[in-house]
Parts: sequence; C-alpha cells; structure tokens
Amino acid sequence: MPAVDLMSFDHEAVWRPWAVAYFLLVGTGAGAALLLAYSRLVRVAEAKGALIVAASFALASGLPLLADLHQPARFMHFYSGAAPGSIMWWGSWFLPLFIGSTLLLAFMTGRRGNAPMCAGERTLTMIVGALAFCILGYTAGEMSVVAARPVWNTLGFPVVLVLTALMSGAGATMAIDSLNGEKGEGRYMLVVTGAATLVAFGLWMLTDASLSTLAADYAPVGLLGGFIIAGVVVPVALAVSAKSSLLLRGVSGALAVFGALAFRWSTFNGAQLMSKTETAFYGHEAALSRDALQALAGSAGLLILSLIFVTLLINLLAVRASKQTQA
Amino acid sequence: MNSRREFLKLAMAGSTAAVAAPTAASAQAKPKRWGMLVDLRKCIGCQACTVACTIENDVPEGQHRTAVPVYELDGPDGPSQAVLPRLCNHCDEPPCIPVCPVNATFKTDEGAVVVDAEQCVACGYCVQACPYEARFINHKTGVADKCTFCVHRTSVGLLPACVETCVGNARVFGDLNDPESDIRKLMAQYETKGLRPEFKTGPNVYYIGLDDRLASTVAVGGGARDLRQGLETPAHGEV
Amino acid sequence: MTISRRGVLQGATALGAAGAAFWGFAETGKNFYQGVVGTAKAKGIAGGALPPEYKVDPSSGEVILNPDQRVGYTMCMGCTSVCGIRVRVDKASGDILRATGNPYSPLSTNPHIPYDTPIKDAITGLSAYGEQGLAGRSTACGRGNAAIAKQNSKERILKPMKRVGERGSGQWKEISWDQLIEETVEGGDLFGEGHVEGLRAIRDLKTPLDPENPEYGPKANQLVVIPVFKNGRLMMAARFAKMAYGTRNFVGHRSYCGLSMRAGYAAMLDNLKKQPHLKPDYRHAKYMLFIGTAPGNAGNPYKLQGTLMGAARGRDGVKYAVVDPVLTNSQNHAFGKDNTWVPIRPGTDGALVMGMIRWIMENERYDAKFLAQPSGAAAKAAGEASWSNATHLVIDDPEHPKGGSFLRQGMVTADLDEDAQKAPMCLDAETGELSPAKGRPATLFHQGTVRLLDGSTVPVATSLSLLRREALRKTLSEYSADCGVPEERIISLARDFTSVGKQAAADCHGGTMHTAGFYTAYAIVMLNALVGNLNAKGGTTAGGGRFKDVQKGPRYNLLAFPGKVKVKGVDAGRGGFAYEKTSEFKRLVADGKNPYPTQAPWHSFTQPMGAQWLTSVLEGYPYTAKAVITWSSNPVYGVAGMENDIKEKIKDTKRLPLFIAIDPFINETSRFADYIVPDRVFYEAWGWASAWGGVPTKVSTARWPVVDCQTGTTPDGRHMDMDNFFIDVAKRMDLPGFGDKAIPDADGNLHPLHRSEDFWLRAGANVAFDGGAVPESDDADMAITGVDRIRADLESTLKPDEWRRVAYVYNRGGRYEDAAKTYKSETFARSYKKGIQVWNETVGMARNSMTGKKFVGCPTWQAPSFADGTKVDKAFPPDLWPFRVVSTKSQLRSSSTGGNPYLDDLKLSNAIAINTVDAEQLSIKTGDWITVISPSNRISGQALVRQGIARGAIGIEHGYGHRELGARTHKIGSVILEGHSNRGLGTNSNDLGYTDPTSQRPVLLADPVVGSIARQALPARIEKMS
Ligand SMILES: Nc1nc2c(c(=O)[nH]1)N[C@H]1C(S)=C(S)[C@@H](COP(=O)(O)OP(=O)(O)OC[C@H]3O[C@@H](n4cnc5c(=O)[nH]c(N)nc54)[C@H](O)[C@@H]3O)O[C@H]1N2
Ligand SMILES: Nc1nc2c(c(=O)[nH]1)N[C@H]1C(S)=C(S)[C@@H](COP(=O)(O)OP(=O)(O)OC[C@H]3O[C@@H](n4cnc5c(=O)[nH]c(N)nc54)[C@H](O)[C@@H]3O)O[C@H]1N2
Ligand code: SF4
Ligand code: SF4
Ligand code: SF4
Ligand code: SF4
Ligand code: SF4
Ligand SMILES: [Mo]
Repeated sequence: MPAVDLMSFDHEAVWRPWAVAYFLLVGTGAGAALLLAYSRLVRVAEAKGALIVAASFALASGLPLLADLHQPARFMHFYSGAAPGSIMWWGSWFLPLFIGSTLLLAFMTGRRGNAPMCAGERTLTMIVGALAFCILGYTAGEMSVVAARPVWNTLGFPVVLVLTALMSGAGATMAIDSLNGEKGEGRYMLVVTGAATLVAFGLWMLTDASLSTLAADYAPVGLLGGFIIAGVVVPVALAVSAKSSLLLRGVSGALAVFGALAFRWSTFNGAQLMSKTETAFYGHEAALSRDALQALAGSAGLLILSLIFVTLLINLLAVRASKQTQA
Repeated sequence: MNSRREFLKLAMAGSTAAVAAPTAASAQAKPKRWGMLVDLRKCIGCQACTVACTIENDVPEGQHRTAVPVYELDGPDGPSQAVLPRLCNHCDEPPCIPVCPVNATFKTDEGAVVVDAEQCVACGYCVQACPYEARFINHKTGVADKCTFCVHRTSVGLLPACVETCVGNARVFGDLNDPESDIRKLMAQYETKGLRPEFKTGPNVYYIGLDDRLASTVAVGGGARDLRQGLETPAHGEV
Repeated sequence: MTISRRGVLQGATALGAAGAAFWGFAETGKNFYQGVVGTAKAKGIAGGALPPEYKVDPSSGEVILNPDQRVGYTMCMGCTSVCGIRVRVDKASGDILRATGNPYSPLSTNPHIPYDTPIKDAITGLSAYGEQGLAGRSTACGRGNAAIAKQNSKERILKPMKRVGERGSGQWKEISWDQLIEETVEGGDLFGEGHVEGLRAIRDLKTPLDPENPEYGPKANQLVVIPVFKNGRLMMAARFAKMAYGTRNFVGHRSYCGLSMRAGYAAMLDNLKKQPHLKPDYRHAKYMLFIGTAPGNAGNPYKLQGTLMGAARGRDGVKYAVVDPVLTNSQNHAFGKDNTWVPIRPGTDGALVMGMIRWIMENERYDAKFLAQPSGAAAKAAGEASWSNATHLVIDDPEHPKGGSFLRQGMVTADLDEDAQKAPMCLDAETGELSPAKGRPATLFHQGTVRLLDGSTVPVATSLSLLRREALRKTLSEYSADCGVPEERIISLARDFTSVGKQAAADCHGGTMHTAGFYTAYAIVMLNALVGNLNAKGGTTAGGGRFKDVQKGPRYNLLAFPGKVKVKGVDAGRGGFAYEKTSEFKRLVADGKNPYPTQAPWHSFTQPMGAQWLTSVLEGYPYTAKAVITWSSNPVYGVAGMENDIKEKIKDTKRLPLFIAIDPFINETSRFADYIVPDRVFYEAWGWASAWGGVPTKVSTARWPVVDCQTGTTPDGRHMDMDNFFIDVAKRMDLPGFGDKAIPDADGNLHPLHRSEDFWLRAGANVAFDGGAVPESDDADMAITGVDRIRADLESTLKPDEWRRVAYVYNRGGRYEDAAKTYKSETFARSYKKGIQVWNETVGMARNSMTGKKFVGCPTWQAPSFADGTKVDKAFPPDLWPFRVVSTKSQLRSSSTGGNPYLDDLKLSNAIAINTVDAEQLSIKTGDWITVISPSNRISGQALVRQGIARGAIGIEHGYGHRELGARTHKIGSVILEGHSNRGLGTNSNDLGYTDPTSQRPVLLADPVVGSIARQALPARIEKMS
C-alpha cells in the first residue's frame, strides 16, 4: 500500500514556459544551421530558407532565455566570472556567439547578392555549423546532467531533444521555403530525424520507468501523444508522400516544429511537476496559464519580428548588392 | 572558493563586529561544521518549525525552506503516522553548487550551503539540480532561496529558528566536528540515516528512526495533494 | 517609394507580432527595469531573514542586544493552552516580528529555568552558547508562531459597531464609545424597532424574573453573559457580571469543551463544584493510555504535552496506547511498536474500559494495598500517596431513600457527635468488623446487609464491589462486540496498564463529548484508581496550582468589595440544579401528576450549561433573556447543533431584545450581535492565567501589552476593550466594585477601578508577594524586556514597595515555582488531598430528570443515549445510519485561528475521512465530493480515504468550515470589509449536530447525566455527490 500524504507540500516548476520557448527556438535555429552548413558545404546549395530560419530563430531565442531568468538585468554576471563546471555557463557563451555568427552570415549572404560564396563566408558557415553543434550539445547536456530529474537524466531525453531540434530545424526551413514559394531544403532531413525520433522515443519509453510515469499520470494523450502523432508521424508521412506540393511541404514542416514544441512542453513542464521526493505530481496540465500564454505569444511575436527582420536584411542587402553590380 | 569566503566574512561583518573578539582559545579550536539531526520519534508534526522558519526568513506564501510532511504508512499492526521534517541537507557533495553558472551558491566554512542574493541571476538551475527540493526561487526576493541553517543567527551565537521553537525537541543543531556536541553524541548513541543515499550527496541532516520507505522517493497514493487539486471544483454550500 | 501589398502585409504582421512580443515580454521588461534601477530585494546570504534580536558571544556567553528590537514575555492564546511566550517586537514599527517560548514558563520549556535566573542569563540559556539552547529551548507551537498575524489582521474591529439592518445581515455603522455606553445601559428605541430595555433596567436584584418559579432568581439573571474560558482576563468579566451586576448566568465554555472529562474526574476526585482533573506524569510514567484525548495532536496544554510526549518517546521502557476512532499525530511511526493506535467505534469507550476493569477485577490486577486504605491517615500509615473510598459501604438499594449514599456511622450508632455521625463505614480488614473509616486498612469486597438504628435492614456493598458488579454486568465478548475492539486487545491493554505498578496513567478529554460521556470518562479515569497512581511519581497529578492573583491576596482583595452581590437562582441552561427542587416539579407532584419527564433535561450536579444558554433563552425554558453579552467566545461555531437551532430564532428581537458582543473579530456568534465592542488581541491585553493541568508546580502566567493596543480610545484616552466596557457600564450604573473606592488592599483602604491597569496590576502585586515577595527589578532589566513601556502605569498604580517587584514578575512573563520543587521523593510535592471516589454519593443519589431513575454512582457502561435513556442506536439504527461522526481537533488550527495566513498556507481545508473498506463499499475515492447526512442537516466536502480511521466512523477535523472570521463580507458604514471565500473552506462537524428528540422543548444533544454537549458519535450516512 502506498502511503497517504496527510500533510504534503507542493513545489512550482522553476523553469517556466519561457524555457520551452527558448529551447524550441534555439534548437530549431541550430537544426536549421546544421542543415544550412550541410547544404552549403556538402551539397553546395544556397539554402537561403535554412539561413533565414537559423538566423531568425537564433535571434529570437535570446529574449525568452532572459525572460526565464528571474533576474534578467543580471545577465552580465554570466560573463564576469568563470563557472566551467556549469554547462549553463558554457551555454551563456555559445548562445551569443551562435546568434552573432548566424546574423553575420545572413549579412554576408545578403551583401554578396547572387555572387558566389567567398572563403570567409565559407569559414563562417563552418563556424555556424560548429556552434550549432555546441548549442545542441549544451542544451541537451544541461538538462540531462540533472540527476534529480529522472525524466531528463536518461539517454533517451538528450537524444530525442537533439533529434527533434534537427527535425524542427528542417521543418521550419521547409515551412519558410514554401511560404517563399520555394521547394528548398530539409525534406530529407525531416524524414530521417523524424523517423529516428520515433525509434529513439519508442526505445526510451520502453526502457525508462520515469517516462512512462510521466506519460501515464501527466499527459497521456494530450501532449506526448500529440507530439508523436501530430508532431512526428504526420509530418514524416506528409514529407515522404508530398514531394512536390508546396502547401503539404509547408504543413509538414510546421507540424514538425509543433512536434518539437510539444515534446519540450510535456517533458519540461511535466518533469518539473513530478515530485522529486514523492511519487506524485504537483499539478496537472490546466488550461494555459497567463504565464504560458505570455511566453508563447511573446516568443511567437518575437520570432515573427525576427523572421521579418532577417528576411528584410537579406533581401534589402541583396537588392543593394545587385544594384551595385548593375551600376 | 576563496572569494566566496571573503564574501561571507563581509556579509557577516556587520553582525560579528559587535560581538566581542573571540578569545585565543576559541580561535584555535577546530572550525565548526554545522549539521542537524532530527529525532523522528520526538517530532509531533506541529509545523512550528515550518511557520517559525517562514516568519524568521520572510519566506513567501506557498514556499518553504522547511516543512514537515506527514504520511500514513501501512504496517503489519495497522497504519501509523510518520512525520518527516525536510530541509536543505547542506550536502558535502551538493549537486546544486556546480551547476550554478555565476558561482552564486557556495558552501561556507561552517558547511552551510548558501546563495549570494546579489550574485544570483535566478536561472533556477540549482533548483532543478537539488534532489531534495530544498531550493526555490523566492517570490519576494526574486532569487534562489533555501535553508541557510539560519546563518544570520548561527553566526552570532544563536540557534536556528526552527530549532529554537521545536516543540518535540526533535531538531538538534550543532557542530559535527565537535565530538562532545549533542548532535555527535546522539549520532554515536543511535543509528542515523540521511535522505536519498542513492544521490551520494553526503547530507548533513541526519534522522533517528527513518523508515526506509521514506528515505528515498516516498510512494504516496491519494491524500492531501489530491484534495488540494480537487478543492476548487464543485461549489460546496454557503460560505 | 511605392508600398507593395506584400509590404503592407508584412507591416501589419510585424505590428501584430510586435504587439504580442510586447505583451509577452512586459513582465521581463519590468523585472529587467527593476533589476537595473531597484536595489536588490535581498542582500547577502541570509535571504529575507530578520536581523537577530541579540547576539551571544560564542566564548563568553555575553549577550549583546539589538537596539532596534525588544523581546518581552507574555501569554499566548493561539489556543486555550495559554503558554508563556517571548514576543520579539520591532521598536520602530511596533510590529511583532516573531513569537516563541518563554524559558521561565513551565508550559513552554522542559524543564523551565529557575525563577531567579537573571534576564540576560536566560537569553544566553536560549542561545547556541555551550549548546545551552538545545536542552533549554522554549518553544511556541505552529499556531503560537502563526498567531502574530492576528495583531495586524485586516479583519479586526477597532471601533464600536452597531447593526443597521436585521441581525446577522452584515450591515453595521461605527458609533462612538459614549453612544455605546449610553445605549447599552439606558436602552430606548435603539434600532427603530421599538423599545429595548437597557442593562440598567434589567438589573433588578429584587423582583423575581418569574413569580411562578421564584427559585429562578431575580430579573438580573436575564442578563446572560457568555465569556471566553479562563484565559487570564475572565475575572474582570466575572467581577462585572456576577459580583457587581448580579446575574448568575456567567460561565466559560466548559460545557462544550471537555465537560464529560471534567465531570468524570470531578466525580472521582470528590469535587463536583470545581471539577479538578488529573494529568499523567509524562516525565516518569512507563505506560500511558489515552482514550479520547490526543496528546501532541491536541490536548491541553497542547504544547507541553507535545514536548513531553516527545521526551517520553526518547526514554527507554516507555509504552503507550491511543484509543481513538482516528489515527492522529499522538501516534508516531518512528517510535515503533511501543505506541499503538487502537481504533474504536465512536462513543463506545465505556464498553472497552468496563471490559478492562472486568479483566482487572477477575485477575486481581488492581493495587489492593492502595485500595484498602479508607482514609488519608490510613494511606499515610501504609506509605500510599493517596486514598480512596473503595472499601466504604454504600446503601445498595435504589428504592431506599438513602439509596446510593454511604453508610454513615450515625445511621448505625446512636449518640455520636456531628463529625463522628458523618464518618463513612467499612469493614476492618483484620477483624472484619463494621467500623468507621480510620487509619487502618479495610475490606475491599463485601456485599451484605446492615441493621440501621431505626431497626430496618438495608443491603450494603463496598464501593469496589459495586464497581465490580457493574464491570461484570457484561462479558468481555459482549463488551468487545459493543466497542469493536477485539477481546485480546482489551485484555492486552488491561494487562499493560497493570504491569508497571503506579507508573501507569490513563487520561481522556474531547473524545468523551458524546451522549455516553460522563460514565465513559468516569470509567477511564477510574483506571488510575485501580493502580493507585494519584500523586505518585510516574502516576497522575492534579497540578501545582497558581500564585494568588485575582483573589484575596497578600496585597489586595480582588474578590471582595463593598456591595458585592451574591448571585441567586437557577442557571439558564438548567445545570447544577436538581429538577426535584423546582416549583414546576412540586406543582406537578401537588397536582398528583407524574413529574417526569421534565420539559427539557435538568442536570443536578454539573456546571452551569453555558452551551445551552442561547437555545434555552430563545426557547424560554426555564426563562427568557433580556440581554446577552458574548465576549471572545463563539458558541454558534463551537457547539454541535447550535447554529441550526438558533440561526432564525436569534434574529427575532422579541425572543432576545439585546445582544452585545465583545470581540476583536466578527465570528459566527457575534455576527448576530446588535453591538460589537472592540477588544484587545492577546498580545495587547492584561491578565493572569495558570496552566490547565500537567504542570506540577505553581504557575501564574502574566499577560500584558507587549505591543501597543490598536483599538480606538475612549474620550479619556483608554483603549476600547472588554475591561473598559464593563468598567464604564458599571460606573454609569453605579454598580459596586467599580469607580473610586473599589479595590480594598490588605489594610482595608479602598483603591480606584477606572481602567484595566487598576485591576490587573494589583493582581500582579498579589502574585509578586504571594508566598514571599519576589525581588525588585532594576531599570536595566525593564529596558531589555520592554517593561519600561508600562513603567509609568506601574509606578502610578502600585505602591512604592510593590511596583518594582511587579516589574520583576512582568520581566519574566509571570511567576513560576522552580522545577526542582516537583517531587518529594516518590510523590508529587503538591499533592491532591481528597480521597478517590470509587463510588460517588452525589452521583449515586441524583435522578435523571426525564425518567426519575437514580443514576449509578460508579463507572458503568451505558451506550450513547438520549436524555430519557433511549439508545441513540435505537432511534437511528445502524442499518439506516451506518456511520458515527467524530470531530478531531486540527493540529494546525484552533477554533479561533480561522483566516491565519501562515496556517492557511499549510492547509486550507479539511476533508471527510472514511475508512478504506467503507469507501470501497461506497465506491468513494479520495478527493470525491461526498455529502454527510445527519438527523438534522447535511454537509458536503471531499472524501479522504485512509486506513487510519475506524470502520463506521467519519472523521472531521475541527477548525475549518468557518462562515465568518474573514469568510464573509461585512459593510461598516460605507467601508466594505471584504470576505474571502477560501477562508471558509472545509466543513464544521457541528453543522451535523441536532436537538435531543426525546426532549419536549429543544435542547442540544448532550450527555444525559451531566449535559456535556455531544459533538462526537453523531449518527450519519454518506451520499456520493455526482
Ligand atoms: N491542535 C490543537 N490543540 C488544542 C486545541 C486546538 O484547538 N487545536 N484546543 C485545546 C482545547 S480547547 C482542548 S479542550 C483540548 C482538547 O484536547 P483533546 O481532547 O486531546 O482533543 P479533541 O480533538 O477534542 O479530542 C480528542 C480525540 O478524541 C477523538 N474521539 C472522538 N470521538 C471519540 C470516541 O468516541 N472515542 C474515542 N476514544 N475518541 C474519540 C478524536 O478523534 C480526537 O482525536 O485541546 C487543546 N489543544
Ligand atoms: N466540532 C467540534 N466542536 C468543538 C470542538 C471540537 O473539537 N470539535 N472543540 C470544543 C472546544 S474543546 C472548545 S474549548 C470550544 C471553543 O469554543 P469557544 O470557547 O467559543 O472559543 P473559540 O471558538 O476559540 O472563539 C473565541 C473567539 O475569540 C475571538 N478571539 C480570537 N483571538 C482573540 C484575542 O486575541 N482576543 C480576544 N479578546 N478575542 C479573540 C475570536 O472571535 C474567536 O472566535 O469549541 C468546542 N467545539
Ligand atoms: S539539499 Fe539540495 S540545496 Fe541543499 S545542499 Fe543538498 S543539493 Fe544543495
Ligand atoms: S538560481 Fe541563482 S544560485 Fe541557482 S544556479 Fe541560478 S544563479 Fe546560481
Ligand atoms: S535552519 Fe533556519 S532556514 Fe533552515 S529550516 Fe531552520 S529556520 Fe529555516
Ligand atoms: S517543530 Fe519539531 S516537533 Fe514540531 S513539526 Fe517541527 S520538527 Fe516536528
Ligand atoms: S499551545 Fe496554544 S497557547 Fe501554547 S503556543 Fe501553541 S497556540 Fe499558543
Ligand atoms: Mo476546549
């Protein structure tokens, strides 16, 4: 017989939905950055969509992270000392470098217009790719080292976190490309990472009791199910079957981003609501709280602004560049 | 960690200054290493510690540096009531410290794990990392908060608030480096256990009479938590 | 530049996105801004911690005070335990920072420090210096810590209020002090509803209130005053109501607190009037049996018993058992097998205990040596610490006019002096001869006959024989069937209890507040007699008493004054007056009618029945009231069935013309008042209290304003409170005992009583001088404890040789006899002298006013019954009413702590607990909403399914389900006092209480013998809410 808690005390989730937004944005940006690097360096494609996604998602990720700090004004403290034992501290260096390098890459790409890549841009692309690795590595590492959170402290969690970031990067690229009326990159990557996500998640679910508890008690169909079906299975299927339809490609891509969001939402919030000291949940997914709405709306708004900004940046620079070459 | 120690001295300077300078003898004595022992047999679950800590440390509503869950446990002779005062264990290997990206949390010379309120960026990483749920982001101060072993009292010759007011005299606070201290003597006399040994954190809060079922994750069925979660649902008569 | 459609679209999207981002990040922006411009809310490493009140040098133990704070010692009233506390105050704001225990107080410290400990040394003793503060810790419980929120509570009433709307409507207006006094004294058309008699007109000490029934007393009895318990301030109200005004209707809450227990002990301890009671000697007992009391979970004194229970569990060789339908924190898992929980069917403990007594008798496990001593002298000679009437012979014939009384020497021997006539008779143990109880042992068991002086023969039996006969009335298996405790368990309890000599003790309390209450309690406490533990170390103690305060003391006589009234008449609740003495009875007899049953029960040997007052005066039997004053009491919330019975009637101003409540808050009772008089919360008030029990040395705890009183002031600058209300009413009415010449000192000089201080400081002088004067305090100590704040009052009120001694007492929060004086070798130094009544003659001769039948004079098992003896189970058969509701005090609340933010934070609501098996049968899970239906009412709440409750019991934690104390909105003039719905969460089991169906006129269900209110074992059934 389990104990009856006659007196018990609850704890709130300390990483709020802002963290979900941050991990989604930065992960998607990193995924797109890797797609970009791969496309440019291996497949020698321009991959403008991936660039826009990488730069704008990276750009939009900074503020939600700041927002999840309860003392945002103190972000400078990250840089005034060294805490090499803390993965988060490493992340505090990776993130601005990643944002800066993707923006710079966007700038360079825009400025050269239709001209071919120079060596500098090629090097920068490599750097962006490397930083994207760092971002994915640090975000997955930061969470999975937390032994006190059994859902995160597994092999499965960081793997799925990374895979969904890649899938989301590919998906976002597909979505942006199709909005811009282009076929672009990412379909293959989405299918591969999506399939891998399914396999990894399945294996994880089978081997990890804490995840099944989370699934059973916290969000059986609502989120984890939604994540798998709507966020992985459907986009993969769409991507496989709809090679040529821009609309379907766009939908597939957007759903993949949703998949990454849903995964983060349920495992971040859910794991934090799982008591560390008792077999209990501190709360159940209620209707979206104001906090969550603010995080979602704020981040979405910011993302759109970033997308517009990056697109305009590239396009205006390109227009100027072509004018210069014409002149 | 040296700068941290300097900080502590500074932080405490205002208070220690007024205390007469320690005599040569005590200055030579081995440094103190604070620890707490809870004799679960004596705890009556009155929550005086919980409330006193809240008031002494201005802990906001809904948050606790210490609290006393009460469990009804099953047994061969029927159910029985188990109380479990919880607080920060001021671990020897505290998982909460290395994760801090800004070195805001550290262990004092006396072994108390504390947070520098002016350095903390309130990222919550340490809150995630503590296996005991001993930390939280304080709604009033906006930074990481936790039991400090009442450093503001214990550094000026007083006892922690929760110990002072412990009705069952269950909480014993003292110097683990002093073999003559009450806590050491009790530890010599009785078997004591710490919570969550699987995390190898080296907790410095010891329990007499801890049931193994409470030592790690306590398996709980329906109870107060379910009641709280269902409290607001149907209207229940005139209020 | 042309603007493309795409551009417009982009622009609009950007605008929308910017809006969303702005809204989303507004909070972050704010935090950021605050971070940049604002200073950090917390500094250093201690979070938001308070600056320490002092520092103690780790090497010398020297104390360095924090000049911004002060720590004073006063009295807590977070519950009725009235512990000594130390209150830490911020000097600048005057706010209370924290409260914990007073190390001088034995109610807060185990053991308390010697009284002459210097103030600074006491502080060192609480500190980490030499670890002194661990063994020397002095505590406040959770509620005692939390209670500080009371002082600044938004719900406080600070000015007099008068209702504008109908009673209970929650519409008020503020009035001036003068208007309050004028209207309440003089009456008039106060509410535009017709003339209301004021207090002046009601105080008629000559005219009988009912000429038909002159024994009811004068009209002045139609003022009914319902005060708080003995909280240290009661005597001011008593001085007004009883001694000056002259109403006999003034009594504390005992009839709905623990009257069964008190009456049970009183019957055994031969003092039905004062009702003393015993407590186990927790410090040395080896076996303790708690039946219907939950030390450490509740119990009085709550905190001390909690500490002592903890200490007992830390000692070797201690065992105890808790008999309770509900498993509480009296039981402790870590202590292991040495404390057992014995679940029992509610209301049936009498069966369990009589079963134990049967086994003890049959196996001769009683302390025969103790029981054989028929007098104090015999006990002394035998080395016993107490004696009993076990061997005294009782006239064993209920029909005999003297049936139930003791056989006295005067009945069998002629020509004796008065004292000798009264001597009870027994059989000499050696000679077997009938002889008066003397300094020699007597025969324990005897049943036979005796020839009286008039030649008649009467059957007689020793008290112990009668107890044995009662115990043998049923077999163990019958007892077991009645109470649901297995036979083996009954035997093991009896065996354990009788296995450690006198180091065993049994106690009871709130769990006996049911309709079998008196005999249950009498039986439980009788277990103590069977092991002869009274006054024995490790046994039981009646407590050490108090220093003289509001008494005829060494300095002032606070009980006597010129013109003091001696109250007369019948209690409005028919308590403590035999029905057979009423005119009503005599009329019926004269008319040749059967006088039984009466219209509503009378209880001849009990306390006044305060709990029934509202019910009886609104009904008008025995009489109506013209005015009711409640002070700091809340019977509507606390008395089972009261609200149901009176909530409509009390709105009828014809039934009750005037209702004044004195209270710092609006509670479920004062909500109906016509006037509310503001009062002090306990940190601000004056008074003197003692321990309820459990402290074997003398205790006098001081209450004094350690913070400034927040209530408004009277035109002459005194704070509005209970004291000053009664003083001003009395002065306006020229009542004796108040005004210029009111308080006689030891030399007969009269001193004035115009304000609280005049009274309470003089009581302090008595305390300071009783049994030898305490030393004088110097200025330095007064500065440390904040007593310097009242120095001017001390100096101006007291005599030059008094005031510094009284300051010495206030410095220490009271006067306390040293712990070293607890024992004299193996007995308590302060011992209880009267003999134990195995048979109580008063009980044995009294009659049930409904049936006319005589009560049994010793413990016996009678199942819960209505006033006329009808079994509750017969009227509400278990197949229709399968559950019995019990109320268990919340460990985290007392009835008056509703709305305390610190306590609400721990637990906002209670639940309705039922056993796992019962729940399964009803398909109920924890968290389901269920309805509990009683014969009178229904309440709904969440189910808590647990094994820790007896089958067939419903457990409701008391202290929840408030409708006031911040739960309801009130309007005062144009000011809205907002109610908070979460203050009223949970249920109050008293809503299920009901009136006795066998009584012709309404009476709240109560024990048939002594009238204690039945809040336990209420019949009920459960429905699941959809
Ligand atoms: N925490 C707390 N402590 C308090 C108070 C408070 O409000 N809160 N108030 C103080 C006051 S005023 C008083 S009078 C004392 C009372 O102190 P207690 O008498 O110890 O407390 P109660 O809860 O009234 O009743 C004791 C137990 O009787 C049980 N009970 C109910 N019915 C039965 C029955 O039929 N048989 C048996 N065997 N047990 C039964 C209840 O479950 C409860 O646990 O507590 C004092 N201490
Ligand atoms: N169901 C059930 N009913 C019970 C009990 C139970 O266990 N279960 N317990 C019973 C017992 S043991 C008792 S003793 C009674 C208690 O019942 P009551 O004696 O009527 O006392 P309280 O309910 O404590 O109400 C006291 C009132 O005093 C006021 N007050 C609060 N603080 C202060 C203060 O600081 N100063 C002043 N002047 N006034 C203040 C508040 O308005 C509060 O409502 O209830 C009994 N009723
Ligand atoms: S209990 Fe938690 S907060 Fe305290 S030291 Fe250990 S890990 Fe850190
Ligand atoms: S919340 Fe504060 S103390 Fe904790 S890890 Fe973050 S910065 Fe460090
Ligand atoms: S030591 Fe101080 S901070 Fe820690 S739990 Fe006790 S009272 Fe709270
Ligand atoms: S104050 Fe002491 S006895 Fe009370 S709950 Fe806390 S640890 Fe237990
Ligand atoms: S037991 Fe009652 S009086 Fe004593 S500290 Fe607790 S609440 Fe106050
Ligand atoms: Mo009581």
